[in-house]
Formats: sequence, structure tokens, C-alpha cells
Amino acid sequence: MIKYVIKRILSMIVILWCAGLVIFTITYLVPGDPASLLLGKEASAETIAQKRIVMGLDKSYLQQLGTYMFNTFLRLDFGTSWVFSSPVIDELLIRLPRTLIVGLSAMVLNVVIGTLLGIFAGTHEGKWQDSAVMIIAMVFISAPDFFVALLLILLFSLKLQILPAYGIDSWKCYILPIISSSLGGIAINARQARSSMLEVIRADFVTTARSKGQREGVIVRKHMLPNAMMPIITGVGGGLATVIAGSPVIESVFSIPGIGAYLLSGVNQHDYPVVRACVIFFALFASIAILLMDLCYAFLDPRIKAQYSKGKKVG
Amino acid sequence: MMKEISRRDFLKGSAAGMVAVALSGFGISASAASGVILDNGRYEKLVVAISEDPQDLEGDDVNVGSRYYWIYGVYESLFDFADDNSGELLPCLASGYEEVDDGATWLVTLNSDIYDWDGNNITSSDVKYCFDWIINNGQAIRFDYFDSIEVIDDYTFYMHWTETPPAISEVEFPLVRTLIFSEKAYEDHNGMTTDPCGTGCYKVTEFTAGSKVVMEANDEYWGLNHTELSGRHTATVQTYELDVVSEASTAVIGLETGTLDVCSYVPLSMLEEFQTGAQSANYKVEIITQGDFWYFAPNAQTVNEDLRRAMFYALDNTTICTAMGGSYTAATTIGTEAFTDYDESLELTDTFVTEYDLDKAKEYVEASGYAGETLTLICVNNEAAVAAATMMQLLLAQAGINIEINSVTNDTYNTITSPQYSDQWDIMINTLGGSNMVASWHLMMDNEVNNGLTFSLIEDETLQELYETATADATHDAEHMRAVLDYVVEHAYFYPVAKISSGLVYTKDISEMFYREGYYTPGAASFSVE
Repeated sequence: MIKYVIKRILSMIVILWCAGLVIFTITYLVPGDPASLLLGKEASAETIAQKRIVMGLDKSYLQQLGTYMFNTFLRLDFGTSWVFSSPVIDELLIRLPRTLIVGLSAMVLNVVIGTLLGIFAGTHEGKWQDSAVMIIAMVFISAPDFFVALLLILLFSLKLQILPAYGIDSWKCYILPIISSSLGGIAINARQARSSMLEVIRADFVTTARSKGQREGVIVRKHMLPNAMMPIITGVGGGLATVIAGSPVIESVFSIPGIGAYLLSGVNQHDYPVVRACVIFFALFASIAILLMDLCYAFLDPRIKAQYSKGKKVG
Repeated sequence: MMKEISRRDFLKGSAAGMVAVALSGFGISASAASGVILDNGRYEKLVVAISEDPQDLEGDDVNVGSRYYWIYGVYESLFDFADDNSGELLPCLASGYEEVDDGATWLVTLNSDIYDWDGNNITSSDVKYCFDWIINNGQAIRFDYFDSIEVIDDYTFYMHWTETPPAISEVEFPLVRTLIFSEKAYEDHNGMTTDPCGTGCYKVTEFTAGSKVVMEANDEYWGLNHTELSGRHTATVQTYELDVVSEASTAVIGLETGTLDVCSYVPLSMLEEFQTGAQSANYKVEIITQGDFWYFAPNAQTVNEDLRRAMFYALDNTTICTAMGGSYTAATTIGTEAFTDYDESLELTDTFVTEYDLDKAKEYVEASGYAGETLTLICVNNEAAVAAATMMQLLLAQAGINIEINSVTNDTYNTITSPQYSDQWDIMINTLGGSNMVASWHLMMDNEVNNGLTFSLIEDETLQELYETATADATHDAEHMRAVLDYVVEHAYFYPVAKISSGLVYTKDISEMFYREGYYTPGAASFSVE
């Protein structure tokens, strides 16, 4: 198992290196001149030329690529934002906790509430409880994030005046963004968990457990849930990989300066050091999330664990 | 006998209790002004919404994001424009200047008592350092006439121009938009990206990129006893906080819940609550028109005069503005009333600008020889531009003019609209602005922009002469500006489309809002608390 983890970590380095190469090339090939975009249409040709020198854009592709790869992977220097004039890594580290607070909290709510609702609906298949959960889930899957966010602001900030509408000053500021971010995910997880439960609910091992006279709660907890968890974990793993990217929409509505807003600003303003650093960061986080997901599979399913121990990996 | 509580009742009770405790403890702590005027005469705290991230706190590009709300309170320039919008040059860090060598060199004198927040005395060397810094940084925008600075002593220096500037508006960036700070402070504060040190009447005490800038009045401000300074150098607020709230609807809720005191981008459609609704007791409302405006300019190399005139008669500004959204009103001249040199006589009433006439449009189409070919309209790919372009496409189609829209990024727009790509577009729409109306005409009318051609590729010596006359200080008046506008209408060169308007909503504690060059400046406003 440890050998497998080490192998995966080594492969992550290659993945990150490739991600760096690809994102640098893509941003290099994007049409348009970041210097003239930054300076606006009033800037003279001389000023733009000077800016290009300052930004290092006057050098050839290979020179720029070499400098970028060397600085990024050997010196861990992601460069300085052309727009914010501050080191990208500093800004990422400042913004990361805000994005993680919203993203991870929303993910926890997604998993816990979504899974419980799915189990509840699955174990009440065809009854009104099942229909009610699925209708509510459908509503939240259909409603866009920003719409739900604005409704919540109207209710909790304007009418009840118990939560702030924007900002990052206190923990209260994060409540509405977390709820807004999680409702869609809860609905998706509830549907996923319900369908997974329905797959195992009539399985032979469940029938056997029932015939042995085990209580329904024990059957759900010990027999049905572990077997229904695999697709849920797949969804959670995928979601975890995207948590780091933040939600530009939610961050914009609630004025949270997170990574989503930073990346969006980088893309809009051709701030390539920001875009490149964010992509490397996302690749790193996604690799770690997928590794954790694979380890969870092994933890939940002894068959997979046995194969890891033999040095094989289930695809 | 005590009633036995079931587990379910206990859980219900606990949940209700937790909710009650949570709700009672959640009340929003109002971070906005408490309506108190302190013993020093300053208003205690004012929270202002800004829609764009200030990005960083360096003293370079004054036009980026929402910098103009704070940057002049933190850093200062050599000169200011007068607050009365007359365009008169006022002393600031520089106490004055003398023209030598027929005006191609200025002898500038600095005030000797300028100190930044760290106590560094600002000298001529610092001025030279800042000009060199901005040039080396590639940020020297509109420095065409600037040549160099030659230090004479600590408080005097020569400012060399490449040639005698024809008007102050041509050198406003070196004089009024270039911010001066101490070289030592720049090094001590690690480039001042997040930890600035200026000479201004406000000190930055807290900065969170993307979230807020908090400033405190500077009690040791060097200009406290300088009555010659512009009114914006007076800090009338003790704690001046700028909150980044990018969504206008969120900012409106911030006003309604009292967490914000000032917001300048309330959409016109949301103003009623503050004008006549329940919030009218707490807030004042002004409709502000910005100095920027949208214009429509056909390519003078590919679209003939009759076809241009046909287009202008086919466009209806009110309809286009409705399509653009709630913050736009129909333009009636090439500029807006927010400009310092605006005059009512410059309104283009009784011309195609205000007259929508489809029959005339069709007549001019016929006269133009236009045979139904598809023309390309180029615009930047933002929401308002695309909405305007789409409505223009529909309006022009009614006159039989076929348009295809090419919406591109800003830099692509700048590239394509250069002369070598003149065959790739037939019409451009975009925004223009400046310190005054004639300055906003620079790209439109100055043929030095494109080596003998204007931005929309006009080659017209008469237009150039009229433009240069209207921009020269001695003849910069309504009469000469009107002559330019009449000529532009006569040849159907440009068509103004929209003015950008929005609602400025502010607390009633502000008795009089302060305006600097047309921009509202709450940090220098007058306050009155009952």
C-alpha cells in the first residue's frame, strides 16, 4: 500500500510538470498582447514596448518557458501578478483559507445531509417521504447558485437581518455562502445516495440479513451503506477536486475574495502568472483528492485493498 | 406529578432552544456609520461600497479599478485641478512653476514641508525617482510631451518637455496623475503593494485585496495649514472604509440593512426605494452621469459619408440604452455634462443625434450606393457593448443595412482597429472619457493617433485644425468646441450613443457631497448630524 502511495506521489510530480508546460503554452498562444490590454488604448507604442520588457514578454517562447519552469518547479516562485503587483503565491495562500472554508464546509454538508436524505428516500421508496425529498432535490438542482444566493440574502439579510449580505469580517459572513454553495450539492448527493441505496436494497446479502432477524437500522448501517458508498465517494472525490477552484459566482455575489474570484480576474485581464499558478494549484489539489478517493475505496472495499497489497490497481 | 419527557420531545426542545440562541446572537453588528461627529470635527466612520477591486495599493495607475476613490487621499501629485471643474491648475506638492525656454521647460518649486507618514521629507530627488519609476515600469501613459526631470536642489527642479505643451490637458498625466512618494518609503514598504506610505490626508490601516481598504484621517498631514490646496485634501471622516461589493443588488441590501453608507452604482431601476420609499428617510439620492460615454464610429476609409449619415438616422439612442441596461441614458452630444468644459450650447439637438428618421436613413442608403453587403461592427465583448451592438444591428437592418457583430477582447479590439487591419471592420463602438470634453476627443479626432489618421481612420486636415484649436488653452471654449461638433455633424463622422448614469445613494448625515473633477469624494464631504 505504501509503495502504491509513493508511486502515486511521484506520478503527481510528472502530472504537475505537464500541467505547467501545457498551461504556459496555452497562455502563450492566446491571441492579444497582455501589455496593451493592461495599459489601455491611450498608451503609446513606446510605453507598451517598455511594459513588455518589464513583463518579460519580449523574450522568445523557449526563453520564457525555461524561466517559467525553472522558477515554478525548482524555486517554487510562481511570479508576480501583472495586475495586483504582488507575488501570486502570497495572494493564493491568503485567499485559499476563504475558499476552503466555503468549499469544504459546503462539501461536508453535501455529504452528510445529502447522503442521509438519500438513505431516507431510498428506505421509503415510493412513499410520500421519498417523493418529497426528490421534489425538493429537483428544485435545488434546477435553481442556479446565484439565484438561491440572492433569495437567501433577501430572507436572512434584508428581512430577518440576522446574517450579513457580504464580506469576510466574521464567521457569520460565511454562513450564507456555504448554504448557497451546498444546496445544489446536497440535492445531487441525495439523488445519488437514493439510487445507490435502491441498488443494494434488494441484494441477496440484505435479504439474508433481514432473514437473520437483524434490525432495519443495523441492516442499513452495516450492510447497505458501505456497499452504496462507492458511487457517493466517486462524486465526493470529484467535488473535492473542484473545491479548490472556488465558485466565482458565489464569491462574486457575497464579495468573498477567494481563489475563484482571483482566477476569474486573472483570465479576464490576461494576468497569466495568476492563471498559470492557479492551474498548477488546481492540478496539485485534484491529484491529492483523487489519491484520497482511491485510498477510501480500498478502506471501504476489502477486495480493492487486497489488490493494492498485491501491487495491482483496480482501474 | 412531573410529566415524563420523551426522547423526541427532548430533541425538539433542544433544537428550538439552539435556534433561539443562534438567532438572538446573530444580529448584524452595524459596521457602518454610527452618526457621530467626533470632538475633532470629523465624522466617526463612513463605509462606502466600491464595485471593483482596488487590486493593490501601489501609486501607479490611478485609473485602474476603483482607485480614484482612495488613491488621491493616500498619495498626491505635483498639481491638482480646481474643484470647481474649471480646469484651472492648483498647487499641491508643487507650490508653483515658471515657464522657461518658451515653455519647453518648467522650473517647478516643491513645498519644503511635505512629509509622508513615516516622516520622510519629499524632495526633488523623490519626484525624479517617481517619474523614472513610472516610466521604467511601463506605466507612463500619455507622457508624450514629457522628456525628463533635472534636479536643481532639494525643492526645485526643471521639468523638460519634448516641446512646449499646447494645453494643460495634454500634460495632465505628468502633472496631475503621476503620484509622488519617497524613494526611501518605497524601499522600506517593500514596493508599497499592500503597505503604502504616502503623503495624503488619509493613512491606510487595513487592506484586504478583493475585500476592503480601511483608512484613518492623518492627524500629522503636512497640508493641514496649506489653504491653497484643493478641498479634497481635507479628511472629514475619521475612519473611511471602502468595501468591495461587486454585485449592485448586494450593495443595495447593504444600504438597506445599514452596513453601507454610500453606494454610487445603484441601478436606476432600484432607486425608488431610496427616493420615495421607506429608505428615503435615511438616504439622499443623486443621479450621477459619468465622464465616460459610448460612441459609434464608422470606418472613414470604407464607409462613405451618405452611408454614415444613413446609419446615424437609423439609430435610436433611447432604444439602444434600454437594451444596454438600467445604467445608461441617451447621449445628446459627443460628451456628457460631467465634463469640466461642458456647456449647454454643445448639445446636438435637431441633428441625427436626437432625430430618429427611418425614411431619411433609407434615402441616404440609396444615395450611398450601398448594395446590401454585410458590414462588420467591432466591439469589446462586455455585456453592455454586445447588447448595444445587437440593438444597433436590428435598427440598421430596418434601414436595409446588414451588420455582423464581431465582439472581441480589449486588446484584440485595439489591435484590429489599427490602420493595418482597416479592412477587418466597418463600424466600431466603444467608450471614451477624459478630464474634460476635448480631452475625450483625443482618439476620435487627433490624427496623430494613427500616423495621420484618427482612431476611426479619418484623414481630414480641417478636422485636425479645428480640434487643435479647441484643445489649445487660449481657444479652449464653447465656441471653438461647437465649431468642431458642427463639422463632425456636417461630415457625419461620429455618433454619440449613451451616457453612463447611475444612482448615488448616501447617508443623510452627509450634508454636502464633495466632488473632485466630477467624481464624488465622500472622504472630503461635509457632515451634519442631528
